Parts: sequence; C-alpha cells; structure tokens
Amino acid sequence: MIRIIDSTLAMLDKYVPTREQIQKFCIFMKEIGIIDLEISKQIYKEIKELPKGFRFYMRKDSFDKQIDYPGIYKYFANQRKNQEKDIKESQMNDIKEIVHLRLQKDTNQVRIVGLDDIFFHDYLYIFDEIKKIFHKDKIIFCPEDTYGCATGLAVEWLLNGGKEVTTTFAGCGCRAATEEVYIAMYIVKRYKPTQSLDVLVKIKKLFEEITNEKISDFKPILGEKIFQVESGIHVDGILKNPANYEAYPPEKVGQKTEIIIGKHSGCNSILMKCNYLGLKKPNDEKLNILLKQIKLRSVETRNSISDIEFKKIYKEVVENEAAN
Amino acid sequence: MKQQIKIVDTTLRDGEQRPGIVLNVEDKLELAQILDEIGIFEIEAGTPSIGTEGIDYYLQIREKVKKAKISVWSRSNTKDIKNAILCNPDIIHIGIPISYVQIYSKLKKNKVWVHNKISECMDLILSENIQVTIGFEDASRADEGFMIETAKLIKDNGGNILRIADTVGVLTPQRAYQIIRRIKDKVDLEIEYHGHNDLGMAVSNSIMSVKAGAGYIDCTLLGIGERSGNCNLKEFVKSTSHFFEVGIDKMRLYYAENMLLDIFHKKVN
Repeated sequence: MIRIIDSTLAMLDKYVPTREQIQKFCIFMKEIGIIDLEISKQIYKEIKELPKGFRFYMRKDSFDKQIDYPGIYKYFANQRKNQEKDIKESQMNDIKEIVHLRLQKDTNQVRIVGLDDIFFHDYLYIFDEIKKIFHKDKIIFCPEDTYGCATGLAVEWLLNGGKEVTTTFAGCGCRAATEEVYIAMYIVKRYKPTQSLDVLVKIKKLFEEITNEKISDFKPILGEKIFQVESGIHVDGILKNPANYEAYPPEKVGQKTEIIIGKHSGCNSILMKCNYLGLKKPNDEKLNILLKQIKLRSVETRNSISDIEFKKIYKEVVENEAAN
Repeated sequence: MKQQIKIVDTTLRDGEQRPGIVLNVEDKLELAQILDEIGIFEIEAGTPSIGTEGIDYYLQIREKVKKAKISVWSRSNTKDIKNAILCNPDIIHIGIPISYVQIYSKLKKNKVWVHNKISECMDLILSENIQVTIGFEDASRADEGFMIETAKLIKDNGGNILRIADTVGVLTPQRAYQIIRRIKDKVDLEIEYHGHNDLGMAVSNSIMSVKAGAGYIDCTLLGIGERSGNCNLKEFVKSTSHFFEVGIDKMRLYYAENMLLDIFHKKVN
C-alpha cells in the first residue's frame, strides 16, 4: 500500500489562502483519494477547525514551545528530541550524507528531503542503503526538483519498494508533482484504477485562484491544451483508436481530446471537421485544395484555424467552385 | 572525464507539431542558425512530405547551417522518402511504429510488414549515399524481443543509429534504462532517445537513457511538442552539465529561447 502525502498546504503561506479555499482544497484532495496532507502552522491557524477524515502533518521547529497541536496526526521535526508523534526530517544534499542517517536509525519514522541528483549515481543502490538503515515502511521520501527529476525519483522510490512519498500539487515548492506521481503509478502499477480524477480540473482552478498564477496550458496532466492534437498522423491514429496516442483517457483527468486544424493537419482531420460542422464531404480534388488553403492560411497567421475560418475557406474552395 | 552526449534538436519538426504553433520558412531558418551556433549536433529540420515549406527551405537550411547535421523526418513510404532525398539532407530519419498497438491497430499491418518496410526504406536511402536512422515509435509499449530482432535487422542492413521514442510519454526512468540497455547488450547500434513529458519525466528518462548508453538525446527549445511537449533543451542542459558533456552554449541558449518566444508573439488571433 503506497501513501502520497500532499504538502501543497505547507507551501502556500505567501499567498494567504482563505479558510474556505483551504477547506475546499482538502475536500478536493479527498475526492482523488489523498487524505494525508501536510499543512503549515499558518494554515493550521487560519483553518481553525481541521476537517474530519484526514491525517494532517505539520512541521515543527526545535524552538516550538507547544508540544502538541490538536488534530495533528504527526510532526516533521529536524532537531527535536524524538517524541512519539515525530517524524525525523533529514535534508540530504549529497549522497555522502546518507551515512549520517545511521545515527538516526532508532527514530520512529524518517522523512528524507533532497537527494535530487541521485539519478546521476547508482540510485537503486542508494535506495537499498537507506532501506538497510530503516525499514522501508518507516521512510517517507521527499525528493526535490532542482534537477527536474523529482517526479521521476518519487515514482522510482515507489516502484522499488518505498511506501511513502511527499509531493505537492503541480510540483509547487520544488517538489514532485502529486498528479504526475499519481498518474504514473496508475499507468505503471494500476494504482487506484477506478478512482476518478476529474476533480483535478477543479483543484487546478482553485490553485490558480489562490496563487494568482496560471498553470501552463501544457503542464503534464493539468494543462488545458495537452489533449489537443493537430498533426495528420496523430489525428488519424487517435480517430482509429485513442490508445494509439493517448496513454490514458483524457476523461480520467476531467479533460477531452480536441482536434485542431492547422498547418500540420491531414485529410482525415479535414473530413472529420467537415462532418463536425455539418458540411458536405468534398470530393478528393476539392479536399486537397481545401487542405492546401488551410495550411497556407495557418502559416500566414502563424496560428491554427478556427471553425469560423474553416467554414469561410470551405465556402471559398468547395461551395463557390460548385456554384461555378 | 564527462560522458559526451550529442543533442538532436527537433524544435523545427516535432516541436512545431504542438497545436497552435506555426513557424514559417524565415522563422525556421533563423532558428536553425542559432541552434547551430549554440552547439546542436543535429537539427531535425522538418517533414518534407507535408509540403508546407518546399524543397527550397531544406536546401537553404543546408547553406545557412555551418556545423550541425541536417536531418529530415519521413514516414516509411517510398514517395515520402523520395521527397526527403530531394532535400539533400545529411540524414533521413524513418519513423516506424514498433508497438503492437500501433502496428496492428493504427497501421492495420503486421510484424513482417514492418521488417520489409525497414529494409526497403534503408536500401533506397543508402543507395543515395545518405545516412539513415530508424526510429522505433512507441517503443515504451513495445515487445522487447521484437525490438531487438528489428534492431538486428537494422544493423544487418547497414544502419548505425537507432532512435528509441517514448511516443506517448509513459516511460519511467528505470524502464527507459532497461529498454536501452537490453537493446545495446544485444545489438551494436548507437542509441538516440526521444522522450515526451506527459508524466513530467522527460528529463529524468533522458538522463537514465544516457546512463544506459544512449549517445544522442532529442530535445526542443522551451520543451515544445505534442501534448506536454518533448524534453526541454534548457532543463536538460541545466540538469546535466555538471555530469555530462553536452557541448551547448548556455548563454546563447537563452537567446534562442527568446527568439522562439518572439516568434510566438507574432501570432495573429
């Protein structure tokens, strides 16, 4: 059983999310099956009453006088004496530091943060060495994204016997992205295969609202345009069988395939668009002219062709010619 | 000594296939020049058979680019390859589906057809004294035994470089490593890795491919490409430059990215 601890609510302090936004985020996370959430002290104070049905984690500093915060399941602590609810946090900036973990082998549980460059080393050996020090059930791995490898590292940890990872929505705060790890595990290991993830679209909107920053249209899993397809070969393949070019159904994550017409379109896309717009199927000769005109227009405007433009070109090429 | 990697830039071919991105001939020539200047080993200039640029574009790019090799992409049919030959490239790359889902479901063909096509295409290109590389499309979902068997055929036909394409972007780092290592262990071919970023692992997978023995990595400026894009050139260079020798001028790379962004801003809505 793997566990993804989402730490997004520990990364949003500078945006000062409202109580309603925090509650909504928690509910949405539960809808995708994630009930382990790390929150910051600021979020804890803001939300006042923690929603039920979650395991909340929080970071505590050594100078924190308060021993326990009601409702918190466990604490990440790096200098504190090992308390019952503490998870020792170790920042590992270099593989050589792994030997230091041996000094902590008696801790209840450990969270290892960092190790962002271990793909350049024998990372499977490093994982094994860590697992020799602690039982694999006692380790939470929290790779950082300095080398653009955090998602890859989190996934590899889970595929090689690790049980728990810490991630964040959209990878905020230089972490592995929750949704990427989730879908990767779904594809590779059939992780929660029947779980609907269409609420990801709502989480994305909420996240954008909180941070006031737009998530890229091409962000893996979340981007609005990742299921758009234009190139003739790909459209043809998708029309025959979506699995040809889609690793998972877009509907799984609340999206849908969208065929775009433009410079790279092929005849099948044009026919599909004619059908979609209720336009009569052109003969082969007209189809080739139509395709050529569409490509030319697309190059002229450096853009794809809208339905309105498509109809206009169709009229010029097919209907006007027919009238002549 | 750092491991040497050759970067194949496919901004002008696979990158441009991102819906909504359109580059005209002038844009492409300008980008090709800067890609050459920053140290790209091979520039994949386009797909001649789609006919949007015309042969002149490919001839011009040969004149403008001083160091990088120029390659063109082609499907595995004779008409397309003849078109590609007219463009006088250094390399013609043939993309051919290798997974059963793509061979049987998309092409409605079979394994024998794939082998026959590869032999036919390679004969045609090599007879023109042009280098040929073969790309296994959808290698991530393919049968390893069939890939190795096909790789041997490529070697026997005189091929030197095999491209492994994670066409739908589903590889994990260890799986990328295993596929490349197992092919390399059985067949003496150089390997080029072509990753997509659908699961946010294009950089990780490219790094692991190099560790498995890939000598060529495909990238695009700004990571543009189908769906979530290809391996982002800047991110790959930034991540790996302490460990691998990629031969890319990082400062000029920023300039190239800005040039591409400027082109995007010329879009007419």
